Amino acid sequence: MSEDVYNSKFTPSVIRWGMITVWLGVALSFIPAFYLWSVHGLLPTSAEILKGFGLIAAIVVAFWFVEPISYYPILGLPGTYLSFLAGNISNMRVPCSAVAQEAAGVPEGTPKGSIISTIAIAVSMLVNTVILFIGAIGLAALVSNLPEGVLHAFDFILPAIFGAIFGQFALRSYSLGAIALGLGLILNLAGVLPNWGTLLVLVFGTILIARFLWEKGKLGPKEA
Amino acid sequence: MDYLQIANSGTMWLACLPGVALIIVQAIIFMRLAYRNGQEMGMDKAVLNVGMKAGLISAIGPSFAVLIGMMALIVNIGAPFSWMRLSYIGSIMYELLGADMGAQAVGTSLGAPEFGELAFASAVWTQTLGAIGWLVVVAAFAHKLEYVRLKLAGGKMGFLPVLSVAAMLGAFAYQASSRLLAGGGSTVAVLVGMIAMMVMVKLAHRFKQGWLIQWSLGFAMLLGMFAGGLVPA
Repeated sequence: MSEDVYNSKFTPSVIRWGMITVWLGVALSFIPAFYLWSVHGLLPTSAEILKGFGLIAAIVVAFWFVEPISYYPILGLPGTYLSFLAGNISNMRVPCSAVAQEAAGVPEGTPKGSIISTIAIAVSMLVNTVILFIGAIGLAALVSNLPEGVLHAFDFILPAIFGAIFGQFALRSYSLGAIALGLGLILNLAGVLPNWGTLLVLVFGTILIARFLWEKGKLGPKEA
Repeated sequence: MDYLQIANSGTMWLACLPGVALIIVQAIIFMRLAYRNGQEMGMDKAVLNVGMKAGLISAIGPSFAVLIGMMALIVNIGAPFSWMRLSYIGSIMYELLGADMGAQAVGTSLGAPEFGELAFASAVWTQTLGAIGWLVVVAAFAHKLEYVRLKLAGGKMGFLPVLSVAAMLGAFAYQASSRLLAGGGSTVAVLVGMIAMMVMVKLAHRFKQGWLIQWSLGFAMLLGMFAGGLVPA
């Protein structure tokens, strides 16, 4: 029953609105560039634009593909449309989605999990936009007047968030957590893979190991 | 004219507004869809509200983290475009990198004295174009990814929640392991954030204190960052 509503009503609306908003997002992202060109006459040559694009694409092209595939099982379909249009995925959208599903007591990767994830990511977009707007028009100056010790601690926000979310999920399966982290440490120390390759191997390697252990009955069905 | 006058002008704010407005509209559309369909699926409105509250509280800390990073961007490419990029599509690391690559394309670098009007325009083009790939891939293929997920589960529906947990552990082992190996405050912040979160989630379930889960990420973040900050450099 709830699966029916999810598959036959929710998902088609999500796909329709997701495609409309993300394609519109492609178009609207060019407005500042066209504004600088049309109002101020500032336009790099096409060779320069291509060069800039080439330099950045060389670094990120693999992530265009690896990130949507890797984060999809976590974000769900609606969460994917929202998160990739909004950005700041690993440091904000995924943590908000994960904590909300834990708080609401719904299992990840299920229709109910996806509904809660959608709500949490959507609200995080509103919060983020407002906080950054206030920051952009003035609060930035205030923040820079904070004591040295506090500013220094800001350097460690990201490690703390990543550790916290990893810990939240390690509670679901200590063995799987240890395997994933062990694999992460080994890949980092070996340093043979590019970052996108490390992400890909970690996500899909952990999924495949989990599948193997689950079929052996070593990972029980997760309690909601 | 100094490029920052253009970059911080009222009209630049107007040019950046449509993208951010789209984010707000998209968030509201999806939130309404989730509320309406969630209730039709038999979910209690109170449960949906818990998800909303947890998402709201959890977004505050990371937003301040983005705000701190945004300052580095604002001094180089002005407030409106920084605000737009970080509300919409981007992340701090990508935008700084993109702005710098744009500057390099016209023979200078981000923050260099020669970074002027043209370098600014080039940065805007590079940041915009370099991020298009994510949007195109998601707009064109996101609805096909469900097949990949079901394939990975081999048709076993009971495995799907385990699959999400495994993907999560893999993705965050990726983020955490490099910072664990970084040494100093970074290592301490990962460990303290991890342990604090585990203790809070355990306690919250054990004593049925749902509010603690809603606040857990904020608390774990504060504990981890200040513990990291106390480590002598």
